[in-house]
Amino acid sequence: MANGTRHTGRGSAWLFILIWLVIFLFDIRIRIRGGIPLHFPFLFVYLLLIFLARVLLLDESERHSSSHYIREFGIISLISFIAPMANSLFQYLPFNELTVAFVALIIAFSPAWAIYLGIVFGGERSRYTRWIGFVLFLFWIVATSLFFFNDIQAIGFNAIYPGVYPPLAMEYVWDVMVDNAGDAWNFVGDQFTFMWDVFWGRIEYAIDPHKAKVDEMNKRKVGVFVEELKPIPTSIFTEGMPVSIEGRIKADVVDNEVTLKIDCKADDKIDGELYPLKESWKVVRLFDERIDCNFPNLELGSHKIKLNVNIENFKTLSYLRGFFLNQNTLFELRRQGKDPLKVYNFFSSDFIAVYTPGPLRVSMDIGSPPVGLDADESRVSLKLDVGLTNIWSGQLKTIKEMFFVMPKGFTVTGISGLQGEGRIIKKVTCLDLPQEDRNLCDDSLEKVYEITGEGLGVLPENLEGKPVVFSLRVEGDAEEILKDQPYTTNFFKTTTIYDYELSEKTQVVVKK
Amino acid sequence: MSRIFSSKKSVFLTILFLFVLSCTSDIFSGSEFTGSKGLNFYFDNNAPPAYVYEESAVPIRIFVENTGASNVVNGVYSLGIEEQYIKVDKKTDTINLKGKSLERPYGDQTQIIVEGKAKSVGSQEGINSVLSFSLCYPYETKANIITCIDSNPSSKEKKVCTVNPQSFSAGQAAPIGVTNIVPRMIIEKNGVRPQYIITIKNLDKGEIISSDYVNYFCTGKSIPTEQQNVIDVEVSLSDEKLVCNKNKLNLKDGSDELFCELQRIIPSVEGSYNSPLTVKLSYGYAQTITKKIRIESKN
Repeated sequence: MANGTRHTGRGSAWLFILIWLVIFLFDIRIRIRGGIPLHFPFLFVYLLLIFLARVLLLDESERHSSSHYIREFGIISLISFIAPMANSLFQYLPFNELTVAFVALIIAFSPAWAIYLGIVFGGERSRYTRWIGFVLFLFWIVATSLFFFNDIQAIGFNAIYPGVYPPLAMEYVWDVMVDNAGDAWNFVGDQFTFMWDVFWGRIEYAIDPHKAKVDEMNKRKVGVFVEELKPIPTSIFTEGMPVSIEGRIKADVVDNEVTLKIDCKADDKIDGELYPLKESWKVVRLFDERIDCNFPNLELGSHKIKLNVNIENFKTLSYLRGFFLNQNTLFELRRQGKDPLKVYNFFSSDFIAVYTPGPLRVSMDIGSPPVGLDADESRVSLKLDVGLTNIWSGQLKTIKEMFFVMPKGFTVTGISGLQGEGRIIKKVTCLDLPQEDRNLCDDSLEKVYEITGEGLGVLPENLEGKPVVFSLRVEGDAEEILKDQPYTTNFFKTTTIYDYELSEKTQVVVKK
Repeated sequence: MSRIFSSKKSVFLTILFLFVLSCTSDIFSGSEFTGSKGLNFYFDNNAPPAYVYEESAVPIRIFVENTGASNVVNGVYSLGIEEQYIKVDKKTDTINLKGKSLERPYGDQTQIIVEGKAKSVGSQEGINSVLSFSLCYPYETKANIITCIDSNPSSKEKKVCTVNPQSFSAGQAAPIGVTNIVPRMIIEKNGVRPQYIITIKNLDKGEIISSDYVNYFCTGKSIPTEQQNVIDVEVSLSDEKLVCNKNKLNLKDGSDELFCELQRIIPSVEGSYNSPLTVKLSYGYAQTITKKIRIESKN
């Protein structure tokens, strides 16, 4: 209240705490529900909260006192802001195995700071209140030391130690951080690029690569998974003793035969000896094998051991329902203020692409449903956007085959967005589809197209790190599409066959 | 005691109200029959069933009944399926159903039975497929409204009836109905010229298309804009045709108004009397119903 300036009161402090908690709990709720992580929007929200705190918690003189603001308030706010983001970044790290105690500590840290800010800066100022902050911080450091290092040691080296060895734990944390920071950075970059494209109206590139849902496949766990990768018997070996790791490889495939080629390496250069030793493994349906990898002579020190699984011919199917209506009818419905989806008993979710589980998400979009067709026009131009996203942490090596099955009445005339020269898409027949898909295809009802080798050659390098979106230029014959119906719904399907490399890492220490 | 009395009184008043209502149903409907539907149709609960397995039979049955008072001649139905997942033995045909009349208290009913088969869904867990059934048919609404003619409005003599606006909420056994008439007796020379403002409304959820083009809707053909929401109208007073400001209504906003008047002047000596006002509406009507079924994988 000095110099007659308005002092922020207890009310504004509580308001700040309330807003903070609402945002924070909303963030946590989304994470627990396992939806698409909202790091990007939340990053802005948390940053805004710092400015909100400045307005609500600092008085006039404090706001203009840069030294005070930067030294105390700024640093404290930044820590408070980093805590929930750290929590979100942890989703990229293998820390989801951390104990409940540590996770609870992480989650409690940010609101605890918010409450601290409210108490210290809101209402009565007192030098004693700063002790609350100090005690809180001290408590967090002690608790972190007790839980965090212990947990990391247990996770990193698959062993529970009687004591805490921070250097050992931190070496593991450092390795993991370096490996995974790139993933987190790429994700934020992708989000930013997407927002940028949308903002600048680059609609052809703005198809949401996430706008697709995964087929539940009758609860089958389709994909290839490396589980329980760990050194045996412990992660600490003595010099001269062979280093051994063990992993379990589980796989299930959509419907075709997939080949797995497995190898392991220490520090990306020393080949390990695999047991059982096989050049390749065939996966037709449920596959479950334990693999051992041995290194007879590893040098002293910490070593990163990587198990690579090369998946060949993995298949992803996807389909999208299109909704087509006579343009005049659509115009009339809209003019009357009727929602065509409601009139014909549909939901927007009926027109979202569905893809089978696996490393590649194949999304499609043919425009907002329903698409109006002018029945008097012999040909109607349309665009089928296709998005390919690598959603696993491994590497998409190459796309070997990609087919598009279009319903009768639709003809693909070209592709936009792929840089290949010449004809990169050609018409084939149902017989050219993979064996297991042929009985699902009917040449009298569907047209099949295949991206040529030249077209596929362009894809993999584009797919490193960010989604690829391209468009099929499609001509529709309205009369054939509506085929004596007021409206039609029909399916656009894709089959994609590709090679993928999956890697899992573990850490061992060789001591004297 | 007073409570019992009051309760008895309210029961009596309710019965009296219902009695009066039943005796004067015409003032709510404007026709011998009530209702706001023409053809009423729906999928059988179990045909198609909500869940079917791939590569198995999908029986489809649709019940269609003419709940209105007009006959349907050369109506067209169209069954919409997602051909990539279901095949059927027939998809379209014509339909003829008589409406109800004084001799026939119920209109014709029929069942459309189609044999279908679900195709393979492959390795996917299953697919939700949509079936639609559309009916397009020409239809008529005939509203017979007893209206009061007062040829000498200034007379203080006791009148047989009074000229008042009338509202009809129950429909006239058709999807399009007269909902309101406002009569006016315009004094001219030695008598009056009756004038009417008639409000027509789409009482159901279907689309109105001129009867010549209604089948286009079910066959996916383009319907010219000027043929949409169009109704032919004829109004007569005791078999004497009225002159209206338009002979085609446009219900693009769901309702339209019509102004009609009698060409001749009714002499004032005729006094007051009830006379039937007949509003005949001719149009095409199209409606679609849908049902979702789940085709489950056998895997």
